Amino acid sequence: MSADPLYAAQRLQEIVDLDLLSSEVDPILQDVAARAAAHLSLPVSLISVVLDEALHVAASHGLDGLWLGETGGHPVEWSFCATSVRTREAFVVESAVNDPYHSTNPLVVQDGVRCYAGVPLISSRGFVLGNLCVVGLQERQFTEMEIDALRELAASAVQRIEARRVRSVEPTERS
Amino acid sequence: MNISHNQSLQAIAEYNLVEPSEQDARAALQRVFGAADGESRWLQACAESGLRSGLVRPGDELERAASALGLQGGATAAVARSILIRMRTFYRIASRLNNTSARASS
Repeated sequence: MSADPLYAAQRLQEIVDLDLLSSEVDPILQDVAARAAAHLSLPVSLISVVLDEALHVAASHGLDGLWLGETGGHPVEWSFCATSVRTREAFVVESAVNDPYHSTNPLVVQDGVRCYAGVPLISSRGFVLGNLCVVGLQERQFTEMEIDALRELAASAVQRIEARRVRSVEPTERS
Repeated sequence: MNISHNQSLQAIAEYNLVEPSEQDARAALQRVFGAADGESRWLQACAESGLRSGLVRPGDELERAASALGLQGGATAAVARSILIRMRTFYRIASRLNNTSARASS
């Protein structure tokens, strides 16, 4: 088994316990995403759930008409948000075309992503579930105040997510 | 889930994507659960979906196996969702690129 937190079974179990793979759209999480995009004046915002091999979109703003809106996620190797699962810190890319890792990312090369800012969603049990992030199609600088605003919105998202915790896990279920 | 499959396309160079396979699914399970436990979960999914391990074809059969994995619950369901998202992404982008090239050649 890998020591990389991305592949930790306990973290993935936490994601399931918090019902984050539900197909039902949570209007409160959607609202958090919309507020993040509006506050930073960017077209797209996600509440992402970083799985082992893919990013799952739990809530979003600005994906109408985009393929990501239809697939509900993408391969994890394209994910800016996966960085925060490993570092537990905010991750900012002001110029994706000049970023050493993401300059070859298909989301950048093919789909035009140019900037990104995300803050981790950390559960009460200490697991990084994913990020609240904003994405833009033009290079952009982010201020510390903007990242703090994202952190505040992320805290409200985690509060909402914690309320979804599945309280009764089947005793025969394997983790 | 209804994934539109394109049997003729096995890789998408522009997105550095290859069509998800049984080997990918088994490797993903083993990364999370270890070799023996991961394989056990895969064998269970195959048995429950009427498929033979080692002979699961990309597309519809892999989707059935991944859906059966999802029913095992817990962290296995998260791995299953990863597989299904990767499949959905591959076939959605393949479809879009096929449509673009069809329009260009017509």
